[in-house]
Amino acid sequence: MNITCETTGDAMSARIDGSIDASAVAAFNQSPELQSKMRDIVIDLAGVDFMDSAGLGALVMLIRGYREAGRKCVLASAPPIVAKILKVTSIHQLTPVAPDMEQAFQLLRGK
Amino acid sequence: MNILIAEDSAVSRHMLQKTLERWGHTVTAACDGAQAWDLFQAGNFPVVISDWMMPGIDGPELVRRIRSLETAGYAYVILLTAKSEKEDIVAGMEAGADDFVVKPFDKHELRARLRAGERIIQLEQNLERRNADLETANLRITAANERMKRDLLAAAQIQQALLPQTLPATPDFDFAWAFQPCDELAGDILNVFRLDEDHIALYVLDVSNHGIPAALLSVTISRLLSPLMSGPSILKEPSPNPPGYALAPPARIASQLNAQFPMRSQTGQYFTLIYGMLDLRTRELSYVSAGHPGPAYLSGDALTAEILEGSGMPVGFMEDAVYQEYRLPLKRGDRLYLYSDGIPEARNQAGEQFGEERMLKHLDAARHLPLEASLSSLLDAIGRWSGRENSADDISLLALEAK
Repeated sequence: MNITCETTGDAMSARIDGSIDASAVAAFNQSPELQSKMRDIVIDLAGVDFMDSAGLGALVMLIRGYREAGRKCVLASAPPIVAKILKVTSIHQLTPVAPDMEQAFQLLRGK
Repeated sequence: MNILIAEDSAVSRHMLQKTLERWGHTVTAACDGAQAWDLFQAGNFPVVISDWMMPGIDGPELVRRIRSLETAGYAYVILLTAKSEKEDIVAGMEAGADDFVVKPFDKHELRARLRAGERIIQLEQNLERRNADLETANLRITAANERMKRDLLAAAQIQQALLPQTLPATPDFDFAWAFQPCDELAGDILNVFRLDEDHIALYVLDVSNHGIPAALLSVTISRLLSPLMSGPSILKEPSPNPPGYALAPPARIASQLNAQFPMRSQTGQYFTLIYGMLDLRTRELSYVSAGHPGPAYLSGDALTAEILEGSGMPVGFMEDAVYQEYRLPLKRGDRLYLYSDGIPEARNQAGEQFGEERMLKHLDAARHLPLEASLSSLLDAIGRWSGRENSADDISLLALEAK
């Protein structure tokens, strides 16, 4: 898995490429940008080709970390296999889900 | 060091013995190869210095015999020789000699060569000791491993005892189930049981990850969701009206579990659940899905085979998650399958998932089979798909058929 973070103004985008599986817990924890939680974040899932239940758990822990730090978090651009999992698990109850990056940033600014 | 010397010339033997003793060694002397061979077998000699030319058993033959013996430690053998031809050295080495000293021997050279031998013996002895230590450690690990295996098997038996031992007998519905843990212990668990005269509960749950932590939680939840004969429980809430309790609707059960089992931040452990309550009077199933894949539905008229709607947060993701309840009226011949994601996510050698479509196709093709046999047929198909004895994930299946 690859994490690429980019700061734009008062928000950050984190693009995840590859598989979100059991190894994601360590990968998220070891990313200083992800852990800083200094800004609201858009998690760009466009490059994710696989996500299993352990990976979903890691993603939810990351989202919860942002919420607990008082930051907003939006999931964006999930490809169909990931979008299906997000739908079955009603992730929108926990955090907004946007179809693309533009709408994701609008959601961040809108609130 | 204990040194055995073999030398048929008395003068040479005496001189060699005195020299070695002066250097602090304990020397046993043999006057020919045969005597040396007897002494070697009876004693413990890390170093042997033998003349090459001796009547009867000569030096190379003595070395051959020493090498053929399965002794505890290594014996370092130096041959004394008047020969210095290359072919002779090769023959001596092939017999198993470690080193050679040309006669008449130079004391300094002999001493240096003896030291080299001592170093090798020392290394060999260290290695021996370390091997013995490893052997002991290995025995300990094997014993610990066996104990853990026994514990795992015992735990697996406890878990299996929580699976349905008997199926609810009703004139209007048939039930069947199948359960295949991928390791000794499963993170999956399922059950089907009678709640009261008119209601039957059924569920499949899947704890994230595998192994003991997942199994401990699955066993805990299974106990919580077990039919108790008396007293209030998560399934039966106390009520002022007769019969003194009210059955908790599926969505409330999911909310209650969600309140009691928040995701632990150290482990990220959570679980998905599909829980249904079947009303035998109305023939209606109400169910809730907490992040679990929706049930597979095959209509009795053979027109429909589909995955039913069902979405909700896995248990533990969010404190105030809201759960929606779904209702399904069951007609004669309808079949419904609850399953864990081990089925659609089973992968073949190429990494392709079995998928829901293929699952539906197999279940549809098995309509003519009895309910129980339709489960075996699906499991066989998955076994063929993944091409492995053990699947990568636990597999749970729970089916009902309306009669």
